Amino acid sequence: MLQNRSLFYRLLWLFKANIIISCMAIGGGYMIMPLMKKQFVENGKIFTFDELIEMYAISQSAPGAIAINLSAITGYRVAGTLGAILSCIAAVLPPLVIISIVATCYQQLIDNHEVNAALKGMMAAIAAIIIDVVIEMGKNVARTKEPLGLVTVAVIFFAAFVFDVNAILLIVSALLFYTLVLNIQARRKK
Amino acid sequence: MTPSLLDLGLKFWQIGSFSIGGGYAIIALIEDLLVNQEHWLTMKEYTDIIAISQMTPGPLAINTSSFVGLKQGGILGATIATFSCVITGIVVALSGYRFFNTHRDSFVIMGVLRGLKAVATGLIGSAGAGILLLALTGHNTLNSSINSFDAYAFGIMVVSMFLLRRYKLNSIFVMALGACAGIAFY
Repeated sequence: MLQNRSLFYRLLWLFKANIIISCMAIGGGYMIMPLMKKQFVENGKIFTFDELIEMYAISQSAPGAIAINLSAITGYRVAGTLGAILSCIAAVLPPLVIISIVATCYQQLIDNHEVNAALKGMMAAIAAIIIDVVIEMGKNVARTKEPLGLVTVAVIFFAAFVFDVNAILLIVSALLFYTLVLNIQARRKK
Repeated sequence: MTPSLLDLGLKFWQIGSFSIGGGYAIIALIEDLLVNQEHWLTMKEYTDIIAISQMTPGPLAINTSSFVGLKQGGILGATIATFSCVITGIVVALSGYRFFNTHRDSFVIMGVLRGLKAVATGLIGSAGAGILLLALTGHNTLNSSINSFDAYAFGIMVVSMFLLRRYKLNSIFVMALGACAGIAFY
């Protein structure tokens, strides 16, 4: 159990995990969900997938890059404030270094046939990886046996994908809607 | 004109603090602040950064702050720009996490968190569908994509999906396979 190890060991583990995740998070911030699941839930067995989705939901509702916010929360969960700071540094370092190198030769990279071909193939694989994790997340919502949750998933999906509604608007509306519905439910219970 | 490190920090703090929803929600905000207002980037450079962001790891905001910071203020500039960009999000996210943790027994607050989890599922689903569309057709909007279907990409997608669901293969490995298949096919 990682949680029983010394603070130093946990910090080292966090640094390693976040470097790996950050190096592999190609194709927008969404890849961190399957990557974090692999490192924290399956390899480290530190918390459940359900807890990870919870942390992701909070990260997504805060400003800034979801990947960095999620690194902060998972780091905090494993090793407190120090863990959060170290995780964020490890998450930011790879893109910083890679961009510094790529910035000098990006024109050749963008025009390179092999790079583009590899990227196209990788994008198809990334689509499959994200859909795979969405199926797992959908199962997790279904497990609560609340119809409202599944309706929310469907409504948000269609609003975001088909109608291109802004993410902030969707998050805020869902927050207000849930607060209202739950307050009514709580009052009825009494 | 070279901006001071303070200017650099302030602008990226603004970008990091006022972009919710992650990913490409911030494209317009960065364009507005850095290309149109400050002229720290040309439009060509910015579209290049977006292209680079798609082929290198890391969030667009971090890639942009590294690139602009480096260009305007060297390594120190890049560090300050990146730090300013992430600090608000980290503080808000950690406060949010602690808030939810201290209210584990509240019916309403835990219900709201379940709602946010459903929202996250829907939003990642939408992003996944967008990437799928981009991979299969080269466009990521629904209406422009019917007559440019890419059968190779579809094949790679189906095989990846099979390897992931049936054999629970590591996603990093699946990505590498996809890249090799891309080089072989295109």
